[in-house]
Amino acid sequence: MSGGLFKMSRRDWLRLGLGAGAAGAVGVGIGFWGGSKVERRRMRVPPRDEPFSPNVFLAIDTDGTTTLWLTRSEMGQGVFTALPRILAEELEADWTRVRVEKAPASPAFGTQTTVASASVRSLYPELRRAGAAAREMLVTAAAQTWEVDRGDCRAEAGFVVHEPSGRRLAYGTLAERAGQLDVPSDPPLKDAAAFRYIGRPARRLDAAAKSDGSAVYGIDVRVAGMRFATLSRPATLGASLDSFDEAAARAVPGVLDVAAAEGGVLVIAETTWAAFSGARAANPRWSAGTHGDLTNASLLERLRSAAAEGVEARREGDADAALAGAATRLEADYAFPYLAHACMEPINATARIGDGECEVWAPTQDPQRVQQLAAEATGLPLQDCHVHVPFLGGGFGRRTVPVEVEQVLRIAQRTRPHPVQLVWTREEDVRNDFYRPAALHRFEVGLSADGAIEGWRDRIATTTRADGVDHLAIEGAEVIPYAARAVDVTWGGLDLPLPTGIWRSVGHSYNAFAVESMIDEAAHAAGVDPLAYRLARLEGRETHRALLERVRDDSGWGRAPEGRAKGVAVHECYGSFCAMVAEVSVVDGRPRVHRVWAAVECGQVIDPDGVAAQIEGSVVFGLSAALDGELRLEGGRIVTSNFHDYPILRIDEMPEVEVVTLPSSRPPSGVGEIGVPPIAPAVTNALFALTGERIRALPIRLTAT
Amino acid sequence: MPRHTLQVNGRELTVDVAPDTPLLWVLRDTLGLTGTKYGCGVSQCGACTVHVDGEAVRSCVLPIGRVRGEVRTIEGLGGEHPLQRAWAEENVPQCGYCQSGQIMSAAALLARVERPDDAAIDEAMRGNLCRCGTYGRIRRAIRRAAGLGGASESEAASETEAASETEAASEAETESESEAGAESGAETESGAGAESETASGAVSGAGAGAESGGAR
Repeated sequence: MSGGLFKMSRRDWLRLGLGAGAAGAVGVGIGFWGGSKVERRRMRVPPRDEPFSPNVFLAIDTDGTTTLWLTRSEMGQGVFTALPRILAEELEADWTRVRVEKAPASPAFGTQTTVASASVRSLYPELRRAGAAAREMLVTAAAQTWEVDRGDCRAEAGFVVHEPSGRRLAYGTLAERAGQLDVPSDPPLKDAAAFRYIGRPARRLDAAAKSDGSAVYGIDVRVAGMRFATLSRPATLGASLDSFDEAAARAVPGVLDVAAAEGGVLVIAETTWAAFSGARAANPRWSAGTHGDLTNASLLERLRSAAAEGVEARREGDADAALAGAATRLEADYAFPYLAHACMEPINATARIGDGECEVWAPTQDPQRVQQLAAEATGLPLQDCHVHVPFLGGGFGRRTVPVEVEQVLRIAQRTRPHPVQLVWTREEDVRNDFYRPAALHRFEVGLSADGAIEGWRDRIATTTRADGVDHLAIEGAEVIPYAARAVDVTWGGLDLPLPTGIWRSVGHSYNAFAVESMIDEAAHAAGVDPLAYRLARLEGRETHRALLERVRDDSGWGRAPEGRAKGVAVHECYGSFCAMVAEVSVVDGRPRVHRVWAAVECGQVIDPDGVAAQIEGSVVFGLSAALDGELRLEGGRIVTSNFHDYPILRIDEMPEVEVVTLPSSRPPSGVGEIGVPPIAPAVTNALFALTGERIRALPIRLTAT
Repeated sequence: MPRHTLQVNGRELTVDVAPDTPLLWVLRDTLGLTGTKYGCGVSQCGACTVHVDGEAVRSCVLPIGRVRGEVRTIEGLGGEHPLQRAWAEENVPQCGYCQSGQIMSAAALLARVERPDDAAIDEAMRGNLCRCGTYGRIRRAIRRAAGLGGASESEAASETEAASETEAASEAETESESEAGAESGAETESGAGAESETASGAVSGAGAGAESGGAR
């Protein structure tokens, strides 16, 4: 790496946002290899004292304490443990001496965005090289200290060992000397057979802090002199503030300031509760809004229109002819509502604008975007905007959109020199989310007499916009794993004033449901067992096949206890594959999922228990949506507001979930989202097997029981 | 504003807040005990669960003026409570935001029922939402803390590969547990972190709690 970053002084690096309590050392993303030792020492960042910090990801102190920098947001998916495991593996670190620190926002860390199940898969090569380079330098330092042949030395659990003599030197005692060495640009990586940490289950490093109340989330940030703020905004689409009772709000004890701001009423107070109370007392009145005719039913009508006017996304063969000549022709519509993220930690951000610098504490999936926003809002140079990323109480895609950060930066201008924490109530969160889009699939599928797919037409509409085709909106339906002679997939967008965003597994969350339901319909129409039908129709998809066979065997496919039935689904996304079988019954008219068998292929497994946890969690996330998830619209107003009308699965409906991972020689791929797409179709396919009722809209509403 | 004297985690504290202020916000904003979480404000999610005289209550809808009895929060559980150890051993937390409330509900259950069956666990814990979906592990951790082993009744009947891998995890390694913190420069104004004795007295169902709230 050459160029600007290598010419910076220590002071420059301090100002680059690597200030108090937060520092790395050399390095810039993919370019952190290289640079002479003199350059590297220039870029050492006080106040860190570690003599050995060969790259942005790690530092070793003279006492052996090994600090690993977490450059992704921990929001439950386990990167706080999984990423350090990768680094520690190549470093040959003593896991008990490892400390993990959350990196502040800085371009020095390369990308810090946590999206698309990409943390492990994108950082795996970089972290391995970073750890291996440090290990090689420590080995060299030991060989120099002993004045022995380097080839006789090897690293092991925080020590370098001299094989012939059995002498050992701890990493801490080697840190000073290793810090003087050049960083190797192409260090040898360990053979997978020698892995000590990768592939073995670990105790989560954040488990204890998350079990004793000491883990600090964004909403827990407390800064001396801070104020608390909240907002009250309209639930009606396109409505604006007509009037509010400012005097009443100001009369609430603890309320410090009340204003029309941010599209609603802003209340600043001494405590969160005083702010909430002030917002209630303000009793805002809103204008009528712009979409008074919008309901869930009218939304569906508009999606039908949009589907009819879609643009071509994928075309293979002559679908018209294939459908016209098919022995059996199936038509079915699949409909999906808007969904809210409803992260357990309500939306919040904290900011302090000082003289010539500012600080932001944001539970965000995009810290560098937050830093840019802070620089824009304050006019300060980027490096004077210090962004801290606490633990995230859930993310699921919501925390890629830092609208609350933009708000708190404006609010902090009012409260300065006091810091301020903005907290949205749960109701504000549900009604001002960046929703999973509503969507519609309109299928026409033609089968030959022996059940082969002749024509597959899927007209998709989503409440999103794009120039051309919104590929994110149709991912998972654009390409299907099953052989079809002719394919015609179109997409139409519908522009509505509900902002949409990414929601755990994004387009796959509904597209997998549509495809895996439709293929189930085809199987039943062909009179073939749905799992066998899938296996017969897969084309060059050996991973899909292996996973389907695994869940078939694990689940005892073809048998079920009295009153229950099984359904299957399989899906590929984020480089990974997941098949699921669900066993269901119906209790008092409501589906009951008893057991789920999941098989996953996600490349090299970093932590099998971590994979299992993500799949278990994805089952709950997907089931919550399938059973109850729906943003309700009445008269152009969002009437859904809190967990009583946006229910999340509770423990008494938690199925037993069995997770297996298939061995793989591929590098790791994502597991944070892969479990969401297949669970809902596995459940509704089971319900069809049980009741004969095909569920073609979510959430599931059974008519015949 | 009126003064209220509270017993929190074994310490007597006086706060000056409006009597309708929910206990949750007194703990979080006045006393700096941020382990107790705001999730919904209407006793729907359980993230705010604390004990009052050993009973699990939803502190988001319990006005400070109506608190009668000794309050215990997650910070007062001591860190070495069998449930807290089991939570780490079973790798229960994911995002972790709901887990203070989960553990406080579970602690009230175990104080009342020494060896709860699966139905008792579900009944006591169904007031606590977890968006990450850690319910299976919560059941296992409660059973482990109660000395019943990790597997649930049905799991015990059909031992699974995933479960046995997890067991191997627990035995396989000694992990450092001290590094989770490393917080971001924010001061925590800790007011009442002191320990308290084991909860005493009769305890009612964790699902109870105050029910006044109501959506806005």
